[in-house]
Amino acid sequence: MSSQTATILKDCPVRLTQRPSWARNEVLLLCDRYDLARAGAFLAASGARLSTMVGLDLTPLGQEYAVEYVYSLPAFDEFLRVRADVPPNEPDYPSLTPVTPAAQWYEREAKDLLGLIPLDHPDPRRLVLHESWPHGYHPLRKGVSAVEAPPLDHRRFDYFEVHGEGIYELPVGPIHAGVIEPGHFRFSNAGELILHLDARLFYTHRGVEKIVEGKTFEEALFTVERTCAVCTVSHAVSFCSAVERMAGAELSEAAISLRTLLLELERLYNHVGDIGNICAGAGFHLGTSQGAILKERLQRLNEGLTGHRFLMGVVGLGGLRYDLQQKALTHAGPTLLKFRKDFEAYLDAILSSRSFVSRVTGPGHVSLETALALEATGVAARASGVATDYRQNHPHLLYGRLGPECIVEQAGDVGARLMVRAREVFASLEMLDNIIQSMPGGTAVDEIPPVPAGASALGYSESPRGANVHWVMADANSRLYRLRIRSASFANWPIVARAVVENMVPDFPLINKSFELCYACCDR
Amino acid sequence: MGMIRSLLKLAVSKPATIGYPNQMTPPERGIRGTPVLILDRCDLTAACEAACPTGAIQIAKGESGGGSWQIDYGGCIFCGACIQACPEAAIVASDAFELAIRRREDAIVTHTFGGGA
Repeated sequence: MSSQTATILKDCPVRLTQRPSWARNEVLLLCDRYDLARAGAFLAASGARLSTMVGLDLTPLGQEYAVEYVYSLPAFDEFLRVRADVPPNEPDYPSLTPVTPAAQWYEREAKDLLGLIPLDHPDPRRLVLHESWPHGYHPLRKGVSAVEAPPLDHRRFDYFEVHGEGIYELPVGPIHAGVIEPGHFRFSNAGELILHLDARLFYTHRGVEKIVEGKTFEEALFTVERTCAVCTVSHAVSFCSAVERMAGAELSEAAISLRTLLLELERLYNHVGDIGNICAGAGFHLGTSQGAILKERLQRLNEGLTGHRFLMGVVGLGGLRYDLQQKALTHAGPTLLKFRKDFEAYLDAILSSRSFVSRVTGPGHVSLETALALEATGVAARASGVATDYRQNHPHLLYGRLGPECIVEQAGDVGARLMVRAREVFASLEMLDNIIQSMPGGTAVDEIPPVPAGASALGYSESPRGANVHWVMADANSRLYRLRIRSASFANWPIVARAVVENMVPDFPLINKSFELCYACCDR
Repeated sequence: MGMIRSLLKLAVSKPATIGYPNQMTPPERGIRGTPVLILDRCDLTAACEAACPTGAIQIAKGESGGGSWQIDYGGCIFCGACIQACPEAAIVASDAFELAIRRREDAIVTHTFGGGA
């Protein structure tokens, strides 16, 4: 424990019900549920950032329900896990949302999936399970079957309504033109101006966290890495590192290098594709098609290197599932070098279009205060002046040695998000070059020691969209007891809804594309 | 300037797209396509059946030593676990990527082995 964390714990005005327990860079604090909000307010004031929140059903272990808020201490690479028991006969606890607005979705999710009721939550509507799911059905409770479908209710969806003369609603989705995922967006407008956006997501909720319960970690990995295609490496790395941390496994040098390489390759093709998509949102076809060509080249590199265009099926427990093809690895260097030159020319071309630059300047503004209050992560945060990046805050894999710079823009608009990505493309290319040049020998494939019964740990990585935090707990037979996937998209979706307010409706596609969040990642 | 240079370059370059399906680009070497069985290597050890995370591979053993090896490509997630698990290296990743079928049962491929030899 760092001395700074010790000071924070000493000054915390909350009585702990047990001594804090340390493991790795995580400390577990147990307190009374009525002290949670006070602890949260104190920690937020001490510079701690809400990373994730987990609802737990511990009743099969002879305990109660529980809620656990996980805070990151970015300045000294540590995590505080604040947990409180919630009794099954009175499953409620005071909501943290009034003091930590970023807790809003986590608490609504725990209410839907576990029936844990956040008292005084300002927006107690359904979130993950839409109104058509039966009342009292909480699938993450241990007694509920993962496969039996409950009978559906037919209740009307509960929308936030704006009233007043001339105000109208504009429903968009959940089925969209084009190959994108489902989400329903209910705009309340006055003329062209958006007053409020109710974003209803979770149409692709598949119960990923439920179906992996009771599986071995090896089996669960196949499901976890398929939570989302474009963040698959980050999901696999976060999950595996949580399991490896529980088991106390040490990764080989080769595994550390190759996992970092895969994470950066994932960031690279995502960022390039996202820049092309921003051009699509602005109706700038040269940028769209040239962006698509560049992205295709990167995905072909992925395919040659790993056998999979989205890099799936490579990361495994203990390192990788198989060593990457040595030939392809030597081939990657020259390919990326050529790519860099072409990307430079591409960026020069799109930024020299004054009409495009003018189109992306201004819309979708997110202020620094909003980004901080709602705990934005990744590109969305860094484009609004928040220097948050788990590669620096919680250096994992090779990032401590590579020391990437935290790339921050101040404007907080579509253009700023584009520029963060563009600059990160060059940073990624530099890191990739570094990794390929100094590839350590040896194998990247290894086994891990058995996971201790009842252990729990965090795993994290910086995905193309921001911090991807997995909270994993093992049961008595060292199988998976509970998994909570906090993808970057889950953290950032409420910010999209905020960013479009006071913009014009036709700007929504552009603003949405500048975040380019996943639905599947968020919905799970 | 960048834009003009870019347009000039595009004016003299070939199109990036091709006339699929009449024209084809071969997939990258090393693509993990459909897992296929090399018949004369298979000893029906069933290691692949045990390794498959979705239960897409099913093996039936006959009494006289024969049997059948069946894969449902509708259940295959292209993870390559069967390829890694096989002690005889009897399963390889093909480079097949055009997987559209007209009927569900066309996704199931069965190889039957004669027994008793």
